[in-house]
Amino acid sequence: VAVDRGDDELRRVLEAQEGLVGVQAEVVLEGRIDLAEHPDVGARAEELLAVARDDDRLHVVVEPRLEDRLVELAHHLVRVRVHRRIRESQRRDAATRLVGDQVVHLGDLPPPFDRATTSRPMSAPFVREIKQLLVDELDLRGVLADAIDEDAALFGEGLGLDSLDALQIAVAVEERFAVRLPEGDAARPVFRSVATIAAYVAEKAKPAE
Amino acid sequence: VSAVRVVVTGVGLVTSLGDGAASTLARLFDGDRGFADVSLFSTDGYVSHVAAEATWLDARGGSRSDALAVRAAAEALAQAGIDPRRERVDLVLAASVAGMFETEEPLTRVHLGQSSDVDLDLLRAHPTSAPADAIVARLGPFASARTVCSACSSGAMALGIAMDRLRRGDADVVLAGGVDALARLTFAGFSALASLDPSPCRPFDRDRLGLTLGEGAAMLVLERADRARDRGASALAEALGFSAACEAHHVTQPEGGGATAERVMRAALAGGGLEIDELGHVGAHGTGTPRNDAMEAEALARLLGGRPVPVSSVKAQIGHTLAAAGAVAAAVAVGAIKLGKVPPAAGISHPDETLAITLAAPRARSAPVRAVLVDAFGFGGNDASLVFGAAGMGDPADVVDVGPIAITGVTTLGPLGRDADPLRYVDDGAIADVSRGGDDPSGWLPPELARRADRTGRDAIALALALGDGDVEGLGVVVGSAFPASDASAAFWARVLAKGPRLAPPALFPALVPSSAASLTSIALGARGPSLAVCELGATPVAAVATAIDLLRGGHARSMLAIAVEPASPLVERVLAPACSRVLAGPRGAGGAAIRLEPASRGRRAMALVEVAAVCPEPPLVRGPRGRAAAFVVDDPDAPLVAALGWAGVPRRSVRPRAGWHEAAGGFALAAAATAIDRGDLDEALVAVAAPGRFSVCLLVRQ
Repeated sequence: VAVDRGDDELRRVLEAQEGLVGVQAEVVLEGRIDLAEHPDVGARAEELLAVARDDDRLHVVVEPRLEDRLVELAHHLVRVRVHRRIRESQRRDAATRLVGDQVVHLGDLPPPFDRATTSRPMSAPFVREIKQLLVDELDLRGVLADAIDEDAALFGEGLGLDSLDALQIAVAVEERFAVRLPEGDAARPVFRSVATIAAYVAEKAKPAE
Repeated sequence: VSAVRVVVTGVGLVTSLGDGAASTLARLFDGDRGFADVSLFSTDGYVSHVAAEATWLDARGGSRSDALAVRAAAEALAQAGIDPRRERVDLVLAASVAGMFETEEPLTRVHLGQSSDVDLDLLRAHPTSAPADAIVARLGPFASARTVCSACSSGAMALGIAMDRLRRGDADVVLAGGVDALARLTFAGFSALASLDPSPCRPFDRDRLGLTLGEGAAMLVLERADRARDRGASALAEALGFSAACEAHHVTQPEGGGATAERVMRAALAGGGLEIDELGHVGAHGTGTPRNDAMEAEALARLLGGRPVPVSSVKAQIGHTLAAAGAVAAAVAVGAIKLGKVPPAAGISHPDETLAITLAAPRARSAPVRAVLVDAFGFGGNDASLVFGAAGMGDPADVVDVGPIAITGVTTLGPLGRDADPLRYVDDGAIADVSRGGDDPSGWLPPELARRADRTGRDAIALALALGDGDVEGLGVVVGSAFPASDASAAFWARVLAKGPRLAPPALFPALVPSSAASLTSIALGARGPSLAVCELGATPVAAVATAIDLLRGGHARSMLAIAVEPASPLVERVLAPACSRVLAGPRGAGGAAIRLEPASRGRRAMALVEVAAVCPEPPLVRGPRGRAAAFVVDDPDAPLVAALGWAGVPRRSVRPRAGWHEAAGGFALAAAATAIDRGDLDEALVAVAAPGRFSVCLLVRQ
């Protein structure tokens, strides 16, 4: 098992949350774990009120006081995400913040361990990357990359992005994929959705054969 | 009470078109345009290479902003025949770029950890408050000095605050205006936003593609009319009306339809008692961006109702001077009224026929100009309008005395957490680790509110939400910070250096405006009163309170949040605070406080009344203590100020051991003082904080 997050880093992530003692927390551990090879991980997760597991994911809901146990557990994970449910915001009843990957999603999204979500068929090339790019580059606290509908309109009623986001997407795509998105009127069809951006990137980024 | 009339007795104006009002106005009215390829720095990789640069400027020994501000201030004072060294003059300056051009590279080196060897003298030109300090050092002392920023409406905001103060009889003479110099950072930022026109800007033209940056300063000497008459000074024009509000809509995009802009224009005209038919010109904000001009024209079309009042934007000739822009337009308005010239609409090849406004001629037309409306709009939806008129025009509204101002709520965010009892910050015993400051509010803020905010913004939003206010329509926001966005600016510039101008991150740029924390707070709350930043080093918390009170007494808001925040950052800790605040040792701390202020007559339960809130280069005159009193300070070095004010005999409480030392620490002292009075522990509390070049004093009393 490859471990790319050490003890210290995870501890730092958890400590950053310290001020929120007493609120209900939901912690999602996500990673490629061979459960046959590491049965103890599964056992500990069960101990921590495991909710669901499948071949490559563990989803655990724990009380905040049990969080230190996760530090041990982290040794076995490729990727750790820590969500925390917050019930004190003024505008929403519940918001869940994901710290580990600087990704955040709101509490009213469907549970991430929904099998319908996890067993989604393979997307077109770049769709997953563009989704993650939106979340990272647009400071989309409150959105989980996987939960973005690739066919939803980026602006207005869809994802609710604005022209400042469009500019940032163009810069980020150019930086990441060395593809310049069109400007002006030609930009409209490309900036319609994640899927249209991904299709454009896939076409332009095709390696010369 | 009949209103005090306010006149303009001096104008200073320095732009790319000239070093002085006379030369600038002569060329402006001839239709000259002061654009050329930028010589200050390389524009390789940008869409635009032009700017309105003050190529004549010799800024040796200081920053360009400082030099521009001092020249304009000296010219205005000389014309008015006013010497701050011999009479009581207050200063209100608008700035946003300040010494960025001179400090962006050294600060970025520090940010990247490449060097901590920075010339501290040079860094003193960095803070937003530096140009005002330069004016005070060269031409002062002034009775009081204040720096404000509401993005590109700042210049109008500064003049409006000055005008209000005179009208209420709180000042005799105020030197007010704005300054901003060119900088790589603003060039890169507006370029990233795709806001720069590759050609010199063309406001209200069909083919306009954006703005062109400029640099300059404009200062007006505003004076009570009776005083000017008594000393035989000639009035160049009357300052008649001012209004400001926040659209609370978006960080960069103007509100479609321009409803708030129209409301502000109408309020400024009403405040001056002026009929629309009396307007001889509109000095539009007119940046040349497609959206601003469309929004502004829509608002103007409704306001003017088909009357052919000529409209133009001075930005077509001297570029967008950002925080100076509103003051530059005001100086041009005064010139137009005095000289009887309708300012031109230059640079237009194809007027945009979709805009229902009447554009001025390409060169100035000689005609009496009885009154001028000046618009200034900024990032965050900060709208401000001013009205100037010929002597005797208009009928300024009576001053409505709102009565004593009460503190009706306080909250803090610091080493003791969120909304801790403020009196715990003056308890005995130090806290081991004050430098922790407090938790990052991104842990609990609703994500959509925290988006695009830096730590300063997140702290401000969190404090504002903790206090709240049901009446957001009439709620204004002042966020004080000594080094707003210095960190974010260095991070932005580092990214431009690493990846090139094309990949400058557009979404990060709006947060670099000093007023971005205030704007984001107003947007988060939906607060539509004035929204602005104040920057006064360690005197910032009291400056925020004093500015909030100015706006309440001017009738621009029904309640105000005065917020002071100073996040911890290596850049501020290692170089900016040592250079500017002269604090070298000890844990800094971080966080801040929010204080809700409103007229006591509004009826909300008062914690305490504010009798005095002043930021002055010299300790102000304050009466001695009465009843059970105490002095609240940040640290021992404030003790001489307390003694100078005659309060040495009362107990002194310091917040430093528990809140740490930083520029917003005075906010903890204010919150603790108000709480002590509210609990009945004290009858009076003096908050006194000294900072380099200024003293801040707030006297709170029991209702």
